[in-house]
Amino acid sequence: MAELYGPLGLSCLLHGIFFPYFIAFGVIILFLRRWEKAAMAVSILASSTVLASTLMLFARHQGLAAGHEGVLPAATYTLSWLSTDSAAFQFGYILDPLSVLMLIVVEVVSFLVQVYSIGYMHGDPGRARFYAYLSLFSGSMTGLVVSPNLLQTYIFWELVGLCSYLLIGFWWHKPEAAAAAKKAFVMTRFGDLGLFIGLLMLLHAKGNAAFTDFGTLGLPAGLATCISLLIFCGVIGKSSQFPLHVWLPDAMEGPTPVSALIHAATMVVAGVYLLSRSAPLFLASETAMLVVLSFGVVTAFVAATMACVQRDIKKVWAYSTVSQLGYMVLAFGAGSSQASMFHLFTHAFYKALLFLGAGSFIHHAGSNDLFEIARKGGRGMRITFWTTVIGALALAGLPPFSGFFSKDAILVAVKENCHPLWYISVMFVGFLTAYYSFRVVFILFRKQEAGPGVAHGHGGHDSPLVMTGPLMVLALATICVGAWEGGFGHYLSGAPHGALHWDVAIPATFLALLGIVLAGASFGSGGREEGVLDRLPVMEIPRRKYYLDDFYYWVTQKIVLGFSFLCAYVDRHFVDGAVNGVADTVRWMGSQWSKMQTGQVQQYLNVLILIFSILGFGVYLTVKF
Amino acid sequence: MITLQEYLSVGALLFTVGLLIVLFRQNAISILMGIELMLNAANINFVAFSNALGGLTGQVLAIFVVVAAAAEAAVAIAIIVLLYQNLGTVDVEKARNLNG
Repeated sequence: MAELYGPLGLSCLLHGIFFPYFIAFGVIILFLRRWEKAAMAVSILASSTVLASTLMLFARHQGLAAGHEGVLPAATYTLSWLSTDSAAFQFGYILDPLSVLMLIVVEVVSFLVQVYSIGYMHGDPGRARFYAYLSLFSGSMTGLVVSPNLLQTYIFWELVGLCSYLLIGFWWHKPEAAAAAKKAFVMTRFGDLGLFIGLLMLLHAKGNAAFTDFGTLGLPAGLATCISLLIFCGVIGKSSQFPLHVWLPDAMEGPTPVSALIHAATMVVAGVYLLSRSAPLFLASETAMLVVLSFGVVTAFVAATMACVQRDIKKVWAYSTVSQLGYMVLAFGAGSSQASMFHLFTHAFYKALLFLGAGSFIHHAGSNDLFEIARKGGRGMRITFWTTVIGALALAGLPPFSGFFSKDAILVAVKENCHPLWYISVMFVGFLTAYYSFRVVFILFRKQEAGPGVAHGHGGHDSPLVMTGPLMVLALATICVGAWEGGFGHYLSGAPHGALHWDVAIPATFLALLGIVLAGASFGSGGREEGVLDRLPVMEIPRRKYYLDDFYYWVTQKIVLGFSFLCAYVDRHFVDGAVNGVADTVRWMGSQWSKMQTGQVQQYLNVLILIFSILGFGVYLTVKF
Repeated sequence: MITLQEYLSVGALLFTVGLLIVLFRQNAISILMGIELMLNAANINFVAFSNALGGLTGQVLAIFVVVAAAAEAAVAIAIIVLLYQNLGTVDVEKARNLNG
């Protein structure tokens, strides 16, 4: 369908989207490691180039879509990279509404995070390195989004994982950061293994992993289910679904802009994006869809309960991210890839907003603790505070903020396609979401305490404009994006989206309001640090993170280490014993045999003569003269 | 008239004597003399066959053997001199540095 888009125009824009970040990374890491200002300039220049190209691409592509009946077909621009008898690999770009929408999310958030980091990372000695990694990360994410086949996706998928490792462990001198980086890497690798096996099986079966062919693969049902579930393994790791979600809250050890970029808006949604990309494969298998749905619901619920008991502002948002990712996954499992993508879209903006706001608070108060931030006058940071409230309203799903529309779409999908039990669970998660997001807001709204602990928080001081500017842009996006739901639906799937479903929207809004009221009653007045929910004995379970970390610790300490000790014992005593035994035996035999070498020439000669005599005698007996 | 058989018997006897000397004497010079005996036993055979068969080939070979023996004696005596210089003896049982 390349002719539809014209021969060159759009692919040129795609080059302008794909390459600048990698160029910026190369330039910074090779030449600008000591020139921090120049490194920042290069990185932000690349970022703005990419953002401009993306917006132009979106404008032109959407213009085409508006004049086109139904959904625009995907166009791919590829080069043949490697072809063998059994498989052919292409490298290049895919251009369809899905990738364009995802590019917008990635590039807008990347750009704003880069601008915000000017303020947040001010004075950090590693800023050049930081910007290099940010560029590489955004570039990898862009590459992932435009990948036309699963193999290329896998390559960038791993690059994204590497960048998250580098950025989470950016303050490597902190042991917690180093451990969190390792944990993130290992946990996601766990899932990636499944993705890799799925990719290999797909290549083995079809010799081709192009996304455009996913609808017409014609795989046997069992194999399709198997490959879908293996791909979903990768999604569980990358999009931090239960039970591999434990890496994401720990990943908050990284600098806050990184949390916003990687762990809210872009990297973790790579999994959801991959789900939407391979939707035809999943839709072919009911089992796979049910598994996806149940993982999504469990994740959404588990993470929401954990978010209710955190004291660390970044951890609240981290668990909230996990929970919202659960929403996206369950929306996909309920059969609405469009609702999933729309929630991804809205969530990216309001979650980036919340994280950047959290960073602004932390920058100001020097602490991650909610109560500590409140004591040091978080409420006085007007722009940060009120943009956070907007983000929290969107997160809670109140109209007219964006989260309301996307959650409505998800709830409709779940109500129409799934068992009522799922619907009720998702509703309940909505209640929890409103509670924990407004728990944060009400705590932050408390009056500043006067006292010696208050260093520089005399109210009215907000962060510099490079930090509040992105907040305001994101807040604006959070307010406006929801209204675009109809256009989004038409652009992505060609179907005009129906009006709001009041039978779903009213109870959902009511539950959200209930959550806010509960949060207000618990934390709105007085200096309490425990709400109603905190006093329930059952909340001990989420407080202990569902014992998952303990379980993983137990597995690694007892089972893995025990097995390792066993292996070490066997190696030391049996394997080494056998190897050394063979060597010793050979040496002993050699020493025995060498005793034949007496050094007595005459003995040698005796033996020689004896042998020749015997041979001669034998010849004499056998040969007739 | 001396028959070929008698020549060969003398040669064999001489060879055996030389061999026994080489095998059982300990003095290196004696061993060298034993080797010379064996070479000359071979020479007797060559010449005897030459005489019996009426050709010159055997005689030519005998002369070659004499030349080879002269060269061998020169080298061997040089070795024995060195042996004596290093070990202070020409007893081959003492020269056992190459044992295992």
